[in-house]
Amino acid sequence: MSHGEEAAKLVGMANQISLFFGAQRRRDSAEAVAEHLHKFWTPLMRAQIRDHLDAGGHGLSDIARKGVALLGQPKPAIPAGPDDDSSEHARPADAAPAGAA
Amino acid sequence: MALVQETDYGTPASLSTNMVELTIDGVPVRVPEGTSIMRAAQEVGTTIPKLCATDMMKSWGSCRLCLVEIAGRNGTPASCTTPVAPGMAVSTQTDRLKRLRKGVMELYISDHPLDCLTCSANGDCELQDMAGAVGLREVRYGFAGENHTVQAKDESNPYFTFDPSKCIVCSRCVRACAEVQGTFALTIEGRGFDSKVSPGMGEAFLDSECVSCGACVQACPTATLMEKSVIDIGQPEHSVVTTCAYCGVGCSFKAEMRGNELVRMVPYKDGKANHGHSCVKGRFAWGYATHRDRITEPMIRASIHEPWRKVSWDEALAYAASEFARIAEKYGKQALGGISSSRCTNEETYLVQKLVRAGMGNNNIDTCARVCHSPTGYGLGAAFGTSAGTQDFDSVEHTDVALIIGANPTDGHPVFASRLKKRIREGAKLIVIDPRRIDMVRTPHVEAQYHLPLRPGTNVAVLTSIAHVIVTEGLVNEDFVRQRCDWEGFQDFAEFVAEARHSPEITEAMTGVPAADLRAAARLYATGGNAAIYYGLGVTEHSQGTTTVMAIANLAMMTGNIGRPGVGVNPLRGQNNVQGACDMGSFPHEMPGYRHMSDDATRDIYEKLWGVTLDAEPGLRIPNMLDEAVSGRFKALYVEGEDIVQSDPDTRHVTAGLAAMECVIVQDLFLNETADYAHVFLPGSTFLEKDGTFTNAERRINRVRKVMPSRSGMADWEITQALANAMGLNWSYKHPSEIMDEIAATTPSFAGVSYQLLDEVGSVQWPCNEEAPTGTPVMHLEKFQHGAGRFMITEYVPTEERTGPRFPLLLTTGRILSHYNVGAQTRRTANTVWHPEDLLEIHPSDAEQRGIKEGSFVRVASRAGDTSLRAHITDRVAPGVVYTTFHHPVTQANVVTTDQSDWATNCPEYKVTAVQVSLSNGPTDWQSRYSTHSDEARRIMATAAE
Repeated sequence: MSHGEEAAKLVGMANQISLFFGAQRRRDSAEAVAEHLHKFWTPLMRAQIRDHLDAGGHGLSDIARKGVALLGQPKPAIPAGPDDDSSEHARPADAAPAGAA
Repeated sequence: MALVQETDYGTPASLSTNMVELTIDGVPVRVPEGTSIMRAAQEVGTTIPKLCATDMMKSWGSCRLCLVEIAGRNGTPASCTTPVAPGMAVSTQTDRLKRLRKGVMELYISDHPLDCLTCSANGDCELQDMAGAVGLREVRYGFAGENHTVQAKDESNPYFTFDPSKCIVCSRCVRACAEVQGTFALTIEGRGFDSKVSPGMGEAFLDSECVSCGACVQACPTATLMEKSVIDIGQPEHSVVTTCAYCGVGCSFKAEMRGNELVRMVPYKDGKANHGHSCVKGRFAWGYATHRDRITEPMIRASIHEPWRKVSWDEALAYAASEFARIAEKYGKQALGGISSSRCTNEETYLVQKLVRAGMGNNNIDTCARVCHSPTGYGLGAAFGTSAGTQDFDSVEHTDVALIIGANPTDGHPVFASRLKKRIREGAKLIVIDPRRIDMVRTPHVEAQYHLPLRPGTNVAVLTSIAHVIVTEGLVNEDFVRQRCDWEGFQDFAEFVAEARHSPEITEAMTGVPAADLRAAARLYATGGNAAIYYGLGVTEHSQGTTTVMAIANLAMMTGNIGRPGVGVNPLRGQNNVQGACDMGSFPHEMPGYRHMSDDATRDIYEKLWGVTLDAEPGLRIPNMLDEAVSGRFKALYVEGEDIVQSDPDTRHVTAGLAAMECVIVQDLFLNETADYAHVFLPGSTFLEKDGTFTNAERRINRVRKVMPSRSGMADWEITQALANAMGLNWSYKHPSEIMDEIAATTPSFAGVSYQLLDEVGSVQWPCNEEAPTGTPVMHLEKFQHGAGRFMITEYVPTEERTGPRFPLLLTTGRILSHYNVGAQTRRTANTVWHPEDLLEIHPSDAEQRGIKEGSFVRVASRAGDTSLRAHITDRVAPGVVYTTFHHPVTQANVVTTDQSDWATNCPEYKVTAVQVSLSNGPTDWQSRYSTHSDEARRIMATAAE
């Protein structure tokens, strides 16, 4: 795939993710998007979308822009998952789920 | 080893908690109220002679063999139809009963062939047994006169024979088809001497409504209905309990053997998922294990354009390991990855993810859940805190309202469908949400109260509209929501769904669902009693698949339908071990037990045990692997038991990705579409050839037991271990139980699981640990896994896959009963008789507009590609919607599906593809080129004769 095609694919995905979190009410949408990308996107994918934003971010929705902008900042503590009883991991109220695919 | 014998108690068990005390032949007996005398006698070890009774079905009372005498009562009632009563004194053997029983048997034998020694039921015939039991020594009627001893056999079904000459008209087969299977294909035609078992309206079995589940064969007490394999081979001599390798129901079977030869598969009555029933696939379609297409030797080649070369295991594994090392050196470790099989055992998938993480040093591991139920994981994880269904299959027995959305259980989960149909015949109500008029909408003695035939892609709009009705009409179970859920989150959600734009009257225009029907269905779900939702890939395989799962969870929580039998959210997992593969960490972001890679404590456990440092960052999903391959950055793939070329969407992109890789290892039973692009082929083993465990859709961990040697010499777990060792990992598992011990030691929800426990109790549903030592049938009994249930706002986002002038129809895909997924197994069995090719279902009006007739060859084209297949005209699909299956590779159905996917998980949007359909002359260019490539890619160099 060309660089442009790769970027377009990632932009599409980021926008789709942003549409979902943008509709949720009790959490900052951009933070939720950033958390989702940290949890499920590889470092390369995150770097690519970040580069795309730095190059103007063509096609990214407003929430997606803000979410991507948070990438690279200190990662929020991500809840470990259903099998972890550790109390170290406080769960933000509307965090993206741990036991997910 | 011997044959596993299961006691037949004659009639089903009573569920009453009131107990009754009586005596049988002077022996005190205490049984639940409602138990038959026959069953009560069997409970204390007295077997009353019987022919028409069997405990899989209600009593019938026709054979008159099971008569007893009851003190103080006249006559000789049938023990199968007579319930126990307090203080009853029963005699099962008296002079009068002996005379009566002999008389009954004389009548039966007077009209029965006396060829026992050459009969296929010799050694396993209840008629023979009863003749012996009653002491029959003569048949005074003689054998002259009109009789039924010479009748034409019906051998139309590929798996069993119907020989009416052996029939005693006990009606067990008719009742099995009705009560157990729910198809009602059989009847007794005629009366008196003319009575005979008849499929349908007197047609042959194969031409009737018979779905070949084999329940009639299993029920038949004589050789009338008999497996052809028993006729050919003879009676089995030992059996082993194991688990089916087809769908997510996970039926337990007795594999009945003669030596190493499988004679037949008989459903195990003590199987907790299936209770003695099965479908055509599990019971009969196991011939692929010994099919001539089986590859039994490793093969390698430097290029996919070369023929395969058979080599030794050592050479194949050394070559694979050296290629991995070379590629990692040249391109970096992120250029490698693996796909674990959702059809292999838990132990095997655990090892594949371990090989990727410990051996390749990355998290590029994924499994076929990606393309089916990955949204279930995300959605239910968000709502409830666990990524799995909440109930067991038995829960359906307490259900008052079943809502099926995006699932076709009669085809995809047939044994569960039979149980659901039984419950509906008992009075439960059914709501079906599906673009097609699936069989469950209207089938003998079952009719959906409401069928909501929504337009493909509008699931979220419909479910949100249902929630709108529940909220605005005051049908919310507020007590439940306040106690068990995040109340503030619910209030946001309630405000959202109450908006007028979500009302059924407004959404009707885009969903196609009549508002009145939607309102009525919503009210039924909310107020009809215990309400359960069952869903499948018609929910998940959409761009809003995860959102739809969340919408389902919302409905269950807002109506309080969680945390007890009869309710819940029930994803019908497809593959025999897709639940297990997910549990075992076959995801790029999670370790076993659904713990995120970034969790230090989780990584620490495995780093200490495995002696490696693990990558804390998520890896590549299958679609990402292919994108990276096309971009030139992903070069090596280890594929165990999955055929992504046939099953994944946008075939051209998949093949482009594979073709761009430098080392593809396929570990499978047969050369498949993915193997056309492989450089190393490692011959795998079937479920009959290895030990292990599968986890079904109920989270039930069941044993898989080896019944024959592996044809390739190694079970799949041994192959993965050998590959790992060739890569320098130094593993030394001697048996799969050791792998399960490691899983249990490292995964809290599996902490109590061991082969010893499974041998003792048969199966367990996780979580199985100190809190739940024998497992957890129903989840979230008192609280959700993560505390309070969470409501998610389910804003409807129409898919970008839109119809238009160029592509005016919507294609959706699915499965049928006789085949399983890509058909790798079922196409190599006689199941092809029912479905020799995939067909395109098209509505009569759409067909007429295009000049398409029944059986016409048509071209289906989307923006991704085109393919050709034959048309079937039917009104099961609505105008504007077409449907096909994907069981035959020649169809190339996924050339047409696109790269649209679920926002959260990249689960492909198989269910919505904009297409155009037109008449065609024959295969498309793609199909022709693909066929040529495939022929070339499957050449195997002949080895020189010694």
